[in-house]
Amino acid sequence: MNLSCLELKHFRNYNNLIINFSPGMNIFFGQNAQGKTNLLEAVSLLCLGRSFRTRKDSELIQWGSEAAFVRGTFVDNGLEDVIEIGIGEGQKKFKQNGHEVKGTALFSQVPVVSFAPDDLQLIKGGPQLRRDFLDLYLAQLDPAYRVTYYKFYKILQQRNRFLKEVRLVNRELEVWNEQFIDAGLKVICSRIQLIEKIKPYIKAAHEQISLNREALNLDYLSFGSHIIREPDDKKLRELFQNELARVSREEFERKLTLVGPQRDDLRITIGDQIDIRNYGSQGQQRTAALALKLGMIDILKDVREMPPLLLLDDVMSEFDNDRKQALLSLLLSSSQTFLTSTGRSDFPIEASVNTVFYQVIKGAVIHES
Amino acid sequence: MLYPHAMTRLIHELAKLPGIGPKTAQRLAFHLLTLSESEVGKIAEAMLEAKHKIGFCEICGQLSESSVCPICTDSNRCNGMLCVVEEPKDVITLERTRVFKGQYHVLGGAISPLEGTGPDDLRIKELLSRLQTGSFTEVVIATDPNVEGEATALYLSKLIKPLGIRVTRLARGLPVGGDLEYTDEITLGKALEGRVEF
Repeated sequence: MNLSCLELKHFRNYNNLIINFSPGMNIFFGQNAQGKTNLLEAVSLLCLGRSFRTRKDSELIQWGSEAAFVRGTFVDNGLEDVIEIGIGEGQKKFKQNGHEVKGTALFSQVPVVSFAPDDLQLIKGGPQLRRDFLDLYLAQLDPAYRVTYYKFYKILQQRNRFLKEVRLVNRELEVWNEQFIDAGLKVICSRIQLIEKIKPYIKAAHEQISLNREALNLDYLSFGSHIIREPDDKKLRELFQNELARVSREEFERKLTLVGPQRDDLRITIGDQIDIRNYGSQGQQRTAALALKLGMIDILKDVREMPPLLLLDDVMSEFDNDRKQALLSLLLSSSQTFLTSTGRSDFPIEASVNTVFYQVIKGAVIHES
Repeated sequence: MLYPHAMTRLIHELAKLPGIGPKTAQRLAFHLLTLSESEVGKIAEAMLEAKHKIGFCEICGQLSESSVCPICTDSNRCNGMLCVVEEPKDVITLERTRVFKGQYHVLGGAISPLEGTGPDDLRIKELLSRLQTGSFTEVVIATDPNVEGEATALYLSKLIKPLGIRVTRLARGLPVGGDLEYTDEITLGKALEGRVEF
């Protein structure tokens, strides 16, 4: 599956744009603030139904316009699929081949992995970022996960609402607890299964790019700081119940749900169980972040039986020459790729049928021939 | 992939037709396979023939087998009235009333930013040049009475009024043979607004 054509209307700084893409590497270069990343954002919107940069859809609409419109033509094995997305104030419309569809339907279409300088925050930043990372790729690997997560999220909102409104410790909470545990366990188990599945892929990717050959390890941290490796429903249910009972009084005081997958974390360790978030060097952290993403490419390839589209936003400048070369040769041999960079010179390769350069200047895209 | 590639392709293409979902597309594809080759040939031929022979009238944008449609060549219909509609099928609907005796202009859609349709995607430039060179005295805007149609109507009226041409909009109101009691509030309100003198 690859994106052969992209059309933008009133999207970010693009008034009206149509570009055709190569099925191989597509490189956008130009000064800062010209609209390079906006192109990657449009591609991610077509693949995921949302931007990889922001959750506020209204930011995507060109200043002074009523609505943004994105159309993409995907080609798979000679069959064309046209995805259209319209974004207005407070509304979003999705169409596939002219038929209106739900945004969630897009998740099962085209897998995508994006790289950005911000990826370092996956390691250094708060747990929310790591949970989002797990959830995003789970939804791409298994479209049913979105439904599971959404159910859990609704119950969590109800439970929080209940805690906000009651004044006294109340037994009615137990009604919510039962459903909350059921839905929460499903989310936790899906995440643990995902982590166990991706571990070998990420370890392998890490070994390839790390110079020290240290082993990278991932663990799911739940209920405070319990490391959980097996999705054993019975054991976890007991633990969940106990933890909820333990924090019950505090929950009424703070009026917030304090235990559950919405507070869990992914722990990333290196070598001899050293937590890389707190003790890793900048270089180790950067390599680990890259390994997480590279691992996802491989597992998506295996599970979805098609290579994901790759979006690389200004990451070339982050790497030294050896890694740049290694990354480029990996990209040249894999799926359709979209890259941005400030310098044309970041790419010591020639333009060809499979490698196309585009210069981006103030919302105009010039195909370099 | 469960079906042979040719079958997948057929279902995929059929599912792109309006009103046809994946299940219906599958049913149609199986039906086509049971037909004889000549019968399938007839369907394919009819589609291609329609596509090859039918174009759009250069003047009004209506479907036509010649470069100018019969309505635009009919000199009896030059009475100074021009009716603006969204789609070619709207012309047929209006013609069935046998009430309107003027000429038509087909826009090819309505302004809808959410679907990526702006004024530049419609035949508005053609409309304006027709109005500037022709001898029209009134433009009747007959776009659909929904959000997009109303926006288009308003946009057009702002462009046309400065030309000194009367701009009117189709009336909205009570259906013929209807019951006042069963009319919804919005329609009834519009009917009151657009009341006419005896």
